[in-house]
Amino acid sequence: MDSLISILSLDKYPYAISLYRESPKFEISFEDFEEYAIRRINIFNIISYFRDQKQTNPLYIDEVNQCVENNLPLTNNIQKNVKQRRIDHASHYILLLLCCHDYNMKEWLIKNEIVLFKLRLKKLGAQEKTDFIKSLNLKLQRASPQEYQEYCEYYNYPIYLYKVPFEMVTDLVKTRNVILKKGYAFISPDDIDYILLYYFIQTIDENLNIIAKSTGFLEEEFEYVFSHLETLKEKCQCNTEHWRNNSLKGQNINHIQIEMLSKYFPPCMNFLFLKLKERNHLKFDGRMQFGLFLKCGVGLSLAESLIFWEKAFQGTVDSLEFQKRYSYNIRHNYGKEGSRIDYTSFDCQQLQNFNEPSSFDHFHGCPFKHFSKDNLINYLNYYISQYTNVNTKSNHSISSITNNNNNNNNNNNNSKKNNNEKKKFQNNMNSYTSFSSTSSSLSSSSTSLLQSEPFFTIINEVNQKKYNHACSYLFHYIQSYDKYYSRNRTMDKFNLPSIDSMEIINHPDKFFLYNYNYFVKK
Amino acid sequence: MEDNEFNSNLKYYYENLFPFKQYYQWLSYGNVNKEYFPHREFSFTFGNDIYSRFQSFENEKDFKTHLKDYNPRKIDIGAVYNTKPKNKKNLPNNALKPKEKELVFDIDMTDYDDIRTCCTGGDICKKCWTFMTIAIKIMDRALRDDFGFNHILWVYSGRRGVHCWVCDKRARQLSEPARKAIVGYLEVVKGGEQQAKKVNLPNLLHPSLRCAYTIVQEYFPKLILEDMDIFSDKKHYNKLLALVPDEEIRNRLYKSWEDSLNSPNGKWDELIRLVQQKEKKKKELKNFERDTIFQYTYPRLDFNVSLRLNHLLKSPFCIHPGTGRVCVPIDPQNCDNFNPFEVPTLNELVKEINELSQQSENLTPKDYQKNTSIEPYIKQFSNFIKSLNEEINNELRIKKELQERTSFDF
Repeated sequence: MDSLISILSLDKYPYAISLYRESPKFEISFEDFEEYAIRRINIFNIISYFRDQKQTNPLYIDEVNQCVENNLPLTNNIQKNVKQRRIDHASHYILLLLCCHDYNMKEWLIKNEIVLFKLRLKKLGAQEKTDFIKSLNLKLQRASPQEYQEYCEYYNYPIYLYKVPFEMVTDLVKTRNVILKKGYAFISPDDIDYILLYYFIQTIDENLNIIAKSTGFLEEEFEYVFSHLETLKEKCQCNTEHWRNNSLKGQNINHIQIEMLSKYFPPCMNFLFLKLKERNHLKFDGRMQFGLFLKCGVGLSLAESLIFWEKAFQGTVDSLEFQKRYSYNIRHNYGKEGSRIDYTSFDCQQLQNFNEPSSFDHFHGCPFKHFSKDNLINYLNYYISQYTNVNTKSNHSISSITNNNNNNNNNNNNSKKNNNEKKKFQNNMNSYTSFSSTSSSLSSSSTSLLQSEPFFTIINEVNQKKYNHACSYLFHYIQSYDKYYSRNRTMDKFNLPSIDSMEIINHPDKFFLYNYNYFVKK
Repeated sequence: MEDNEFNSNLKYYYENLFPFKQYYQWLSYGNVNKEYFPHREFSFTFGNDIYSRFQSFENEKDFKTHLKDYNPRKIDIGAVYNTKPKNKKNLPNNALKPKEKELVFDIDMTDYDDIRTCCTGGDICKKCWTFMTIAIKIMDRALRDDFGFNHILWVYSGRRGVHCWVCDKRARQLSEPARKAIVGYLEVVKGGEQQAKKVNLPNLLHPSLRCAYTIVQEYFPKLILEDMDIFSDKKHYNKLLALVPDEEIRNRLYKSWEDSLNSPNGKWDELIRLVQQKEKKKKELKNFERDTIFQYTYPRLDFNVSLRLNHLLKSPFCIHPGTGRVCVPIDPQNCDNFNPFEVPTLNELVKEINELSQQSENLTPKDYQKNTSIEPYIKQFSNFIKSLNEEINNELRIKKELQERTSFDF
């Protein structure tokens, strides 16, 4: 009987992939409703894990593929495939229903649906893929012979070129990997996946909108279903920030302690703080990045934050101007103005890819990505010296200055001493920064540093664009160093961290909390 | 500028010279969608930096009345929302959502401070203004030829930069990812303070950048070698040498240029010659000349402005409170001849108004607009709107014809 149904319904699910344009037109039991959703959630959870926690591409991970096979396989076995494809179809729509009202869940859903779609595209045989694309009836325009002649060289002479509106291939446009003419992009057939992805995302967006509008009157009739959606939502691991349980929020950090804590900041925030001290100012993006970190990572309250920034800006901005121009933004970050969104701080992925520094007075972003190698090595050398108290190969003793600042808690009365120290600090900062803006190739001192750890491994990771790996290596290195060299030695031999098995840190707040908890709380 | 004097002059300006008719024609886009103008956000800035967002108006008359009453020092234009922004207080949180907005760019001279040698900060001069000319040419070509946009309004920001408003319907309907993609496509100079070499382009240059290179090559010798005079001071040419990925060449030129009597062109040629000699052995030196010229001349964009739908940008025909100059349109076809120091100021215009009113009575704003220094700029604005309206009318006509045709298909 099953196989008969299969044969009769074969035309409904002809391919091992779908854009899910139409909603499922069959009934399922309530138990199946839950089970099908959980299968898809399992896949998305493991995709998230490898992408966010392990910072690897889930498309190429065996465990991910295995999970897909275990939960939502779409084999070509005639006996099984219709049943499987119906389950897959249903699970997609159940998750649409689950996520349609929540902005964060929508982002989570789309991110992961894209990966699953790409996975399935990869698995398609060439003929099946061609048939699938034909079935979509996309009516893609092709380049005229003259257009082909003009552009084929750039695409390495494909058989033909598509001509599509540029909005369909924004990823290719962004990196200037397509030729544009009067609003059309020329696409090689090899890049058809980008276009398929565009239609896939469009379809999800449309369906999310439609479903969001219809849930209203459904909720009453299917109350028992909707009440279970909450339990299903909890199974979605889209919020993986349990480490925040150790945050400093309860400790009433005040603005004066920031100086002392800055040593434990990750390099990106440590650098912003240095620049803030040096210039008594930061531009908008720097203020956002550092300010939100202070709020969420360090746990600085709004009141302390306002004092902190006003003091930090002393010298470039007077009290009145500070009130007018800067305090609004700070209160806005804490959700006290405007749309009252309680903003969270940026994670590493956002700092690396969103709003990258583009001007000579931008100090935000991720040093591992946005610094030249020379500057990165020099800066990390300084950063590490905060912990080792020994300047390995640098020409200036910044560490002694920062140590002095650590002890300089409440010397507001002793302004002369403050001024001298500030001058000394600034002199050293100037030599640091003047040293830092030099060449685009490695200076000789950097080259020699590069032979030693942790610089060697860090630059190696940076070269592979694994910025989180590089930063995490630094993090583990500092703690290993302490375990071996500190007075309370807990390591017999100085073991360098292992790049493959170490935990990858993907959030500046996490770096700080872990670091702080290691060094201060012990 | 005395605040009171400025305010009363501003009042004269809004009463008699602000081009309300054309302004409304622009922002209502043919009134095809009757809700488009009423759903547009404006923000007004007053003295003491009092700032008032989420203003919106029903029509031209409503806008005119309020503008004259409020007399704002500055007007910003925001997005077209899903409902009237002025009702924000009565709506639940997050109910007000931006729907459409022009694609905008802001090019600010301070972003060039690391390569400008003549001025810094808010100052500009005829020499460094050329950076803006280059930016307008490159971006205007790319927006028209590559992206197919037709209705592009370039506006002088009043002091040290230019704004670009892309007003095609397609541009107004762009999603944020699409805007991000356009910026990514146009951007060439990347990197903050800690990045010395900010231009890294592949061997085979994209056709769009080939066009851009043709443009910058034309301006580079005069602008950078001569006007910016980068070889005149060690401070300047050290920055240039910092971009050379070869210690030997750097040291050699560092010595050679210390007391060389060579002309700037000669010194530049010397550098290029040395690089070309070593190019085959050291692949980092390839494309050095091209990438360096780009780093010194290619437009520098402010990302944040273009990305978000809800971002506010200063309106055309505002008065800049610092310089008193009107934010006038710039003709991209004629931008070589644009001189920011010849743009009419508020005081000049008020003077002209007074002179005219002494000569004749019962003058209307139209008369003042036609007979003062603002005339050519309003004319330019009118031409811009005319071509915008032509397209809107064409579209309406086609739509109507289609409807008539299909109504026969019964």
